Amino acid sequence: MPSLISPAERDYILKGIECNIRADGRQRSDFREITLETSVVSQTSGSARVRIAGGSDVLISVKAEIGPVQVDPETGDGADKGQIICSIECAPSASQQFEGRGADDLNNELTQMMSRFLCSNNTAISSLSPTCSGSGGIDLSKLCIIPGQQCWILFVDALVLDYGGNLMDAIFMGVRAAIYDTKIPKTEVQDLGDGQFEFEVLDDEEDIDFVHGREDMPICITLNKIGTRHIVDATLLEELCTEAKLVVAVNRAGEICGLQKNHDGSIEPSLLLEMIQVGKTMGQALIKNLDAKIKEEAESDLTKRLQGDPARKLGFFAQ
Amino acid sequence: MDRKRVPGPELSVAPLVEYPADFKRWTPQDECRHDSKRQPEDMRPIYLKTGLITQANGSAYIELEKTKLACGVYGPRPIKRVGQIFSGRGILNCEIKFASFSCAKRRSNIRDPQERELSQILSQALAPAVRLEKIPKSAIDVYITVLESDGWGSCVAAAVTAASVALAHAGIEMLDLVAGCSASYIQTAPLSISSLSISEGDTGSISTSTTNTNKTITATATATQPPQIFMDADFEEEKYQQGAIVLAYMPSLHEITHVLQSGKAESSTISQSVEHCMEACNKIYAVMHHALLESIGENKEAL
Amino acid sequence: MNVTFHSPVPKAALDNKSNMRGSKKKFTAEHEMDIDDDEHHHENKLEGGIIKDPTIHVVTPAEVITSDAAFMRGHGTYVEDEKVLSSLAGVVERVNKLISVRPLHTRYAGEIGDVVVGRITEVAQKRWKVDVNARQDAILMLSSVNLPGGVQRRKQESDELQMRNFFMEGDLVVAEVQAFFGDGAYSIHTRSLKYGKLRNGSFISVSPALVQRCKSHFHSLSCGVDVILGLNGYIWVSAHVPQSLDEIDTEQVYSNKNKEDITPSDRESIARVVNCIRALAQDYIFINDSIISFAYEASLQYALKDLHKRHVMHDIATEAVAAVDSIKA
Repeated sequence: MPSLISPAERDYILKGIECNIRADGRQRSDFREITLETSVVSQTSGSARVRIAGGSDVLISVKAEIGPVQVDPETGDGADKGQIICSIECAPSASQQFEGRGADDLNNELTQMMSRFLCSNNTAISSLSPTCSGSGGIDLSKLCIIPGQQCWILFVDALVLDYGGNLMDAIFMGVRAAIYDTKIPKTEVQDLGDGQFEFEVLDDEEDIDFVHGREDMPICITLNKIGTRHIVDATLLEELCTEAKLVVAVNRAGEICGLQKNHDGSIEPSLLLEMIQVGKTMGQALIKNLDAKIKEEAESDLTKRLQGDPARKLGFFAQ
Repeated sequence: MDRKRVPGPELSVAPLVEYPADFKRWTPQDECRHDSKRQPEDMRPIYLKTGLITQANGSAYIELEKTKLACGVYGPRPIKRVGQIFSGRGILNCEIKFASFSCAKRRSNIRDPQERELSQILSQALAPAVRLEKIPKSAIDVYITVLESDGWGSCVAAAVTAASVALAHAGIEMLDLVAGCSASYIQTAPLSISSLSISEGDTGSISTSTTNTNKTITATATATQPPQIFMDADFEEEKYQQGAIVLAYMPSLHEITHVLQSGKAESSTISQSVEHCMEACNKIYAVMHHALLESIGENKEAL
Repeated sequence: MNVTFHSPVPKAALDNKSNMRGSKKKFTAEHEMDIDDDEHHHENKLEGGIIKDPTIHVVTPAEVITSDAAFMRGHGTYVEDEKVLSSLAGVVERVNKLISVRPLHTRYAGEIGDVVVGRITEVAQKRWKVDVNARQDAILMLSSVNLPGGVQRRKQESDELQMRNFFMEGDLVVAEVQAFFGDGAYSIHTRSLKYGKLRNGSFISVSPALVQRCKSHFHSLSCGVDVILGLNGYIWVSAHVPQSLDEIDTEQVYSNKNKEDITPSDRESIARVVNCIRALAQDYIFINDSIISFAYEASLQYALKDLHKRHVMHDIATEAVAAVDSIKA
């Protein structure tokens, strides 16, 4: 796959975008087909795999572990909250440019972007930890087990298996699906008196909690500015022609949860505001479709389980 | 074990400070800002001067009251790493480093992921303004050291501003200067709650960032009043923010080179804050312009 | 805007028959080659049902092809204990007494005279390095290209920046394989007016095994689209430029400007052809100009924006194969 592009191809793609016929026949606001499957990895609390046809393939896993609370020494904040720690890694097998340390910068950029969008305030950054002390809609206080002592820590790990453009959108869709799918065991807390607590994690498979606030998690839409227009869901070649990329994180209610510009170009202010609006409308429509799919899958899994059939997951080689 | 440095204790905490009895921490409900001389739309006064670092081709030092940083620019100089794909354009390399004493909590000497991301953000904010196609096979290195940090957003904005001035001071061809500006959204108005069971004088029972002191709450179902936009928030104000935006803008070309927004906000709030930031950037541009003219004026013999 | 979410579907659920096509050689009407039915049909451990066609002999590394010493060994085989074993996972090919194994999914391994499409990756002293999907980058020597205006070869002016006036990193070229270097790198040349820099179109990459050798690799389809099928799997689809050989402006050979009047309907046709090729490649079907035309006609019933959907692509591929079969029958 090329990381180079010829001036003639660049010009062809640019003019094509101007008359709304992209190189593969899509229009500027068309997405490619997306394949989504949840609960693909057995060792996790929740997982999802998202594959964009002919494009990127990402695998998201959410593991819930128990750990000490992180208290901000200055404000005393965090004693009654759980944590979310994100990490994104591009597997060296995903693309030739990722071998060795090549993916380091990209990994870091994506991880920081995800941490920022899943937090709703910046104190995480000033206190240096990569954890989210706010919430991307997720109610962290419900993740606390014993205030001041123990809480649930959700490790959200994304692995990029194939790089074909439009990585951020795929990752966020997967994270939303994986968190929707995450099952956290219930805990029973016993008060031993004197401020001492003991807790026990219930073993019953049916006794689980879903993550509170998972419907309010944001997804993101990446808008690529090429020439004077912008497109969504760019292929690799289109990404090479991009002057500036704007990532808009939107939640179900239409609130913008984050905004970040990438690449070396500049955007005119009125175009920026227009792109934000476009991102917001598209994001809301995308969330609707995505939620419908996730719910459908969750329901079919549930009916299969109640009937005693194990839910058959197709995993990696299915189209 | 690192024998060259004297590491601080592994776990460091800010020292305990005895506050006087009448000390009152600032909250958003106070009618003014943390710095009582400022209005919500005011930025902190800027001190900007070039020529701090003699070894560098260009340098700048910026102070926004308690935010201080120094920037040095080296280049254009030949690209060190051979074997990179020739592109006909030069490379802009930015590195930002927070000094270990710059923040309330001591930072480690090793570059952490946040600094690496900030470096990337900085180069993306500056690249559209620099005429890299004029310097093929060359690299420009921009190094920023943050000496004191009072508010994360203002640090990033100040970094962009200082770097632009340093680049211009180094005589590198640019399309325009890039001004950086930050703003925070802070909820100052009381929340309107739909339940009717709140009594007067109820204080502090809600665990959100606002408290009510003896104000009646109208039990309407309307949405919360939109948060107020505080320009150039400092560290104390940032603790209460619901979201923040950092904008890098080229005033003459009227183009935004970088935007970074975190936290939840309505799109109307974002449009408003973008407008405010652009206006503020215009004012910062005047300061940058003045600083550069001063630096040329000092070398009157050369003219 | 519309975005559709799917659940994954196992590959077996899609029609299996088309997978078999990849193993038989099929050419356009100009070439026909007979394959003798193999009497020496050896232990095909896969008889269990994956490969249903008995004339295809699929082997894996270290599988015995034959114990008969009368056969000559070709590529992809080795001898141990007087038995001929395969060293590749692929299909056994037998031409009279020569046995060889052809892998189905491999990097391009070419012959002299092959037409290839490549992308310039590096500009070096008096030569360009070109990526042709092979083991090594091919070399395009400065002396193997036509200089514009027919000037004399300027051997002394091989400065890097000067060479970039001809080909730059990222440019796409169509060239012919001239020779091999010792390490397996090809030497390619563009010393004919039909070779050179590619413009006015779109690039797509498929597996090299899917492109067969034909008389010509430059095709002009009836829909107004030109297709160049590189034997290395790189394919260029472009708008038709009606130009006879003597009209070609030698000064403009290295220009990067696309032609001015590529109409939206041209772009649609190009996008359609690109999607048809992608559909054929996904179902592992041989690609040549006639099957592309059939696939194009089959695709006309679908809207352009639907062409990247899985089931649509699969339908187009099956229809194209059926059309080719019916012509043969």
